Amino acid sequence: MNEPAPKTVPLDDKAFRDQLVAIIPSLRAFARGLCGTRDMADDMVQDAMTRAWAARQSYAAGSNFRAWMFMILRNHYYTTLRKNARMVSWDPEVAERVLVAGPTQQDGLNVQDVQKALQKLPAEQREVLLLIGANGVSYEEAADIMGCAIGTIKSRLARGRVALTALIDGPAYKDEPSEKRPRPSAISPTG
Amino acid sequence: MHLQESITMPEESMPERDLKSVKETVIAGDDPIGKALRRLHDDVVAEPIPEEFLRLLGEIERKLNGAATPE
Repeated sequence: MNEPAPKTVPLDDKAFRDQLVAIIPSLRAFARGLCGTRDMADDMVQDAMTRAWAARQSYAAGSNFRAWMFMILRNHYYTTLRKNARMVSWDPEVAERVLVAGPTQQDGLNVQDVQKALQKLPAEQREVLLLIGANGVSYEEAADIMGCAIGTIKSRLARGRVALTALIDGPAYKDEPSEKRPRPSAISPTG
Repeated sequence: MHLQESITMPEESMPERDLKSVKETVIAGDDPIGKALRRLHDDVVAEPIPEEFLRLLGEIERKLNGAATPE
């Protein structure tokens, strides 16, 4: 962290542009999960790309471009969150359980339900679930992107998963590996 | 949580490959939440890149081909 930065060698503009193009799908996926809606997410990604282009001289060639881009995107997301009170997530304790369509024809959870439930989590938990669970970044990279310790990443991930599960399956759900467990009735009395 | 207890190695010094092998529910292949998160990701990644992105890249392209922008 505190090592004296050797001279930062930026990428040439053409190479930078190519990296930017290549990362668009991952950025869109990360933003979609953060924002919950396609339009807002795509706006966010374009803003992040514009910012990245403007700041391209500060990107050191050979360093982790994905982490650098994700950091720009999530910083922009949090700035927007703070500016826009309507986007602020509410407390999962008081959030009502999301309506569950039930398992899809294949196996597993309905993706739309998970997307809705994600929006009810605290932003930090949503972010870490997306980075590690969806985008498949390592703990180390997630810690770099979010600017916190690996231990913090792990506890946010664990808490986020529990909260997400509770939102989808109802508060009574215990963390069991079985996918065949009987589902609780659609309406939970505890709300 | 069982998560923390299962981790005995100093993660900071572990190479990325080993970090990924740490037993972890969300990343585990059969975890329903993990599966849904990956599908969420894969669905978006599979979408064609929308036109407005291509316009944005076009602007960048023009800057590349035109005069160098002052930085």
